[in-house]
Amino acid sequence: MTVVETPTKTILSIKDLKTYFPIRAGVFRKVVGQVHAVDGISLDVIAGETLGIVGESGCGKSTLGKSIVRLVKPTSGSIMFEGHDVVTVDHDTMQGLRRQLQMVFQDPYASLNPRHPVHEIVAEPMIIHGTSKAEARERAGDLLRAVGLLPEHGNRYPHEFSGGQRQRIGIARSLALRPKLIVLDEPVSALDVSIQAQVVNLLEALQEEYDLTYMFIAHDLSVVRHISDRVAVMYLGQLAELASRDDIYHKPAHPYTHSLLSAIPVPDPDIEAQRKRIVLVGDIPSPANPPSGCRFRTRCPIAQDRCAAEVPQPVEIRTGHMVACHFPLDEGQTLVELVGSSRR
Amino acid sequence: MTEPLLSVRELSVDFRTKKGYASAVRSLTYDLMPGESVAIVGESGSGKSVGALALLGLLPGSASITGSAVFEGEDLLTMKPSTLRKIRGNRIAMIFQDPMTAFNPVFTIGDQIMEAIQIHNGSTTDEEARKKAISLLELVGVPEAPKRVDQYPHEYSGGMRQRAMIAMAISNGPKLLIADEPTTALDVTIQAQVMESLADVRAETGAAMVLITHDLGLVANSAERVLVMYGGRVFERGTIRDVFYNPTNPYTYGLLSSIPRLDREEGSKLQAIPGSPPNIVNMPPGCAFGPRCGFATEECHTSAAELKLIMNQHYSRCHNTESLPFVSIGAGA
Repeated sequence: MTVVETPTKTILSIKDLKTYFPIRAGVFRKVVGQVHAVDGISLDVIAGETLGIVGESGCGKSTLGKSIVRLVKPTSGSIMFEGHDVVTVDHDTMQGLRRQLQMVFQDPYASLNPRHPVHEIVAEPMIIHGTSKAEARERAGDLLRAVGLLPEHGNRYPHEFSGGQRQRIGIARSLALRPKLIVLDEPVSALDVSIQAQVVNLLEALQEEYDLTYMFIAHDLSVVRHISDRVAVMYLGQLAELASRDDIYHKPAHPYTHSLLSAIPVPDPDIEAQRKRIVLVGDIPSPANPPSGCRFRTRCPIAQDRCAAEVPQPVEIRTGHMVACHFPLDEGQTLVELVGSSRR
Repeated sequence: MTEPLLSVRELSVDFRTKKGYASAVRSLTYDLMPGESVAIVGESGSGKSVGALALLGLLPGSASITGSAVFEGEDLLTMKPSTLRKIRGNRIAMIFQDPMTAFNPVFTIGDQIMEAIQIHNGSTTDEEARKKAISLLELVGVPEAPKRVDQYPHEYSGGMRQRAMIAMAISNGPKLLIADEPTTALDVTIQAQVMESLADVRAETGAAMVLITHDLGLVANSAERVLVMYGGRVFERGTIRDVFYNPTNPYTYGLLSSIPRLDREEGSKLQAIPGSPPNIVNMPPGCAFGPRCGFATEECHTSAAELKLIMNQHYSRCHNTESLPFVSIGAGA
């Protein structure tokens, strides 16, 4: 991978970002606790790259994405983008920043207004941001063509399209304001297997054509590996590991990354028959009441006393490869060697 | 040769809709041997779930079902509802996709497992049933089973609930488990736990399994044979080795080439299948995959191919199998 070595320009810089949600109870809706959805994330997004964000449900990956576009208000920390801090910036400036900061959502059924024809859906962001209606309409046609639909499709309504086509419409809308960075929140996971590849290929082609930077949030590690330059692995609101794509998949250091990679079945019967798997015990703890020390320690097969006492800080183990673990694995080491595989 | 446990012949399911007939399943035929695991894989609308629900009489009244499905000598499709009720949850059990909705929220997990036991074995006392429920929960790996048996479904996590459902499914020692997307709603690390429970349980009880899934990875790891469905029809059928290493159908081949894989070096572009899956209402003549197929000939647009034997238990539905560039007949795996 050359990504980490070439001179790079940071387009978005997140420092110690925290997004908490209050838990309310009782008649007066008193705040009785906090869900620590994103709990101290720091990372940079480099211009032109695709940064994959992976993790299981409840790890805060979607909240992180929404915080960046400020669809949810972060609790503390900073997100520097174009010289402004998205966390504290006033509403009007944020409106301007949103032109360059767009989002594509997971569910192509829920994210398009069923009562608007497609050309209005795609043109709406432009009209909100001051483009004339005629011009917006014309550009909507171009955008539909860019995502592999026909300008004539603009007169139809979302229900007339398949899931894959709807996701294309959502992508066209996100491109309408010529953004620099697009946050893609599980953009293919609601789609059929045979359609996913079409959308992934489209995203790659558009990135090249429009010079886009992507933040690609997904739980599917195979898709993330395909599309990403760098990958961040999240667990319970925090970063477990962040590295170039090849380092994450070939030299994972965090036991959680190892377990995730080990859990994914591979469509190859012989490999599956010989594969030794690490099956994690237990469930993901509640982000309302995260474990002390390392958050992964309750499920980690190699956890020790220190892991409960001390929060592991992210350490750079090789250029561009950050790991938050007291006992990271060496290159070539596997968890199976350390603890033995599970029963099967 | 032993008798098959389940023998499905020419099973077709149609739904009458306002827009016309929806042909959800067409001429589905397969055998399942005792203890064997067969996967039915397909995308949404391929008919993979409908074909299984039909066996257990779980389809709505608007479905018209033809064909036969002989289970231990009796045809499930023609038997009286009261007879089928004695088999369902007893000798054949089903595991559903969504563990959130499959349990009744107002009864404890234990109550619901006990009910499943007692409904089929009237003589079991509450105490015996409870003991059995606890040991079943232990078998599927629910921690602190004696305590958790009295908890309600909402107190269980998704993965735990799915295991409780497996416990309930095996409570009467079924010969056949039908698992409909059992891990689709779960995270990958939890999926691995649940599939492990399922494998343990099958090793313990010797139950055969029909696994319905869209995940080819899951098929490779937990089935012996596979049926690939598309537009309500079986497009390819064979052992997992034959189908994964020597696909003889353009759809299977396209599907296998379109998914990014962790076990392969990263190529540049995914080989996407163009177009989208067919609408099963008023299907056009010709091959259901024809409009998306890179190898389609004129014949494919006018007549649907039959499922043909390619070699040794390996079947494919394609007019052009012999001339497909990726097929090497006779190579074997």
